[in-house]
Amino acid sequence: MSGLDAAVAAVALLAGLTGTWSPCGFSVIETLGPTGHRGGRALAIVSCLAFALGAPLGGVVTFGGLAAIGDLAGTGGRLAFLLAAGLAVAAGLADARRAPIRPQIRRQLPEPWRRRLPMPLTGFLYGVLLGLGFTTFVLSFGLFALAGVCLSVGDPSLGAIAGLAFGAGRALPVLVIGPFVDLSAGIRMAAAMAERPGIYYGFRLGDAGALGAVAIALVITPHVAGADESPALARAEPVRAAAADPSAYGGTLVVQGRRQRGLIRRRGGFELLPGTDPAVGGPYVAVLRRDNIVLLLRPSLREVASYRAPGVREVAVSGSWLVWLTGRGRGRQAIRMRRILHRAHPGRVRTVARARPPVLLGRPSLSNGRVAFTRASPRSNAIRVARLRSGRVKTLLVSHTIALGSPTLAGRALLYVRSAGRRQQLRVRRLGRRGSRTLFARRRRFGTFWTTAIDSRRAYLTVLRFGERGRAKSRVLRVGRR
Amino acid sequence: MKPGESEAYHLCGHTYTTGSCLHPLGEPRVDSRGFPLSASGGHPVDNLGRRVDRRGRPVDNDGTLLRDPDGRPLPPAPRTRICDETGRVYGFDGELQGGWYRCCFGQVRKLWDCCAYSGRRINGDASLTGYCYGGRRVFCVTYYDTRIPC
Repeated sequence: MSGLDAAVAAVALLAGLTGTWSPCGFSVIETLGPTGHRGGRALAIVSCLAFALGAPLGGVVTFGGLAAIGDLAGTGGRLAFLLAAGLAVAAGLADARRAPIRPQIRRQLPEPWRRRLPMPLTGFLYGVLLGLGFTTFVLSFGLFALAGVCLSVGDPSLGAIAGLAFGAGRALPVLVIGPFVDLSAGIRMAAAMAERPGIYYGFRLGDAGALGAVAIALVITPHVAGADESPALARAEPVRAAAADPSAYGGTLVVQGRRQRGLIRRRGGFELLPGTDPAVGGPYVAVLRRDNIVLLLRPSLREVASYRAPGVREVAVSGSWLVWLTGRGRGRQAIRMRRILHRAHPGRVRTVARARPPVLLGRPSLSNGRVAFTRASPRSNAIRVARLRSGRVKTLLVSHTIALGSPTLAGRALLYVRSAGRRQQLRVRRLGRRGSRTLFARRRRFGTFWTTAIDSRRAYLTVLRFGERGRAKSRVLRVGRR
Repeated sequence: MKPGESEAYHLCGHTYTTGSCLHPLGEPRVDSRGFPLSASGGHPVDNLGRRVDRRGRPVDNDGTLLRDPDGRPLPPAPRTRICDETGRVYGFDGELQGGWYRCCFGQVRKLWDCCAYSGRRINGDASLTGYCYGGRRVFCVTYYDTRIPC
């Protein structure tokens, strides 16, 4: 959990707690407790637990939903983070100064539910409603700030954390006081809440402090705040027109030229390779020649091995592994691999993934014994990463609403294209970490973002423009990683 | 009637027409345990309507103990829950049951029903279920003001 996650969770927890001081919060404690029905303490405990289930659910719907909207809208840039930080500071100051909550949502829970529904169901539904946050009275500015932060950061997992913490804050007093509100200690606790506003203002002050921490985390955490993404967002340099499908490794760049011919960049220009659909990795440049994968040594381009690979369409290579995609999109597709640590005695061919239409597999990318590829269908787009030693495949990113594709691995960095509506982004993330940052973004009229490549210093991107009869003209751009 | 800052029958937040429980000062304001408070200042009052201190002794508006000409504190009068007192007067066993909180005059207020096994209410006509449960119905209403802004 990052510093921002922890600070947002603290704000959410405290904002949820302050919500107990609303007409709804008080009503729930007394309604679900033994004072609100004739079911006794057992029913009170069950009802309070049901409330504790519903509240986080409502919280996740609201804050996770706002974060998902932000994610779809492509927020998360430097400006959005600064705006969110400003909002957190303003809300924190207002809470510290005990400012009256404006605008106030003057709505109560539906009272008839407690008479018409079983009490545990009532508890659950009340929990969902209060967990939603904006359906009833608001008792802290932290709630508004939290919504703004989730929307601005646009990270659904951060939204989920906020929602769960907010729901937990809502549920905690109900769980602690509700089942015992008829006992002397329960009455004293409820009366203290009602008659000592200092407790409520104390929580608002705590919320103000946590909001300050959120603002600091938004401003100073570089990988979260995306402080270093602005220059890259502004510029992309052309590498070569009439080229596509770049592959980069250790300062070597290969692309596919006209009629899929392989090209390698040398001495400021591009030279022809003895094959098509090139890829570079480890000490090799790999090209396709009919149904064979041919390995050339860098930098001499001496041919050192050739392997039969029927139906091969795309290839990826490293010092130890060879991975390739077979099959056209109209038939069955598969991603296959073999170990090439000993070139003369390669390992047996194994299958990493298979697909049949309408599911399509994408161009594989290989690094550190892992292969990344896209699995796209009309229902969802997913970026998967397989460990070649174990054969374990993990879905790294998946979406049922936006397009994800063209993943490229370089060490622990994953570069990919994300397209939502007319917006397209070239994004990079670290394996094993949450969140990604945008390297380059353009609207679709700029051209369609296509295949990618990445090395330690630069990212490469193919951009397609479609002309008459759907024919694509492609070019390769270079984008700085820093 | 919309909930929230609601003004209805004879006291804020009360959305039905049942009358108030018997209170020494009229308006049925109570504390968290159902004992009578003055509506204006929220001070504890006894069954005579006198402001009293924590020990039930009558005090003046400044909170100073009231004394007789001999300097002895005035004797305390009974202070009973107004639901119990109303039940005693009308001949039923009253119980404060379910409450519901609303926003009144910028503060959170609990509307609290005094419930009885009775088909009649303090108004003299048929009673309603209101916030009561277990077969009881609303005989009269009270309220408890918190100090929480809303």
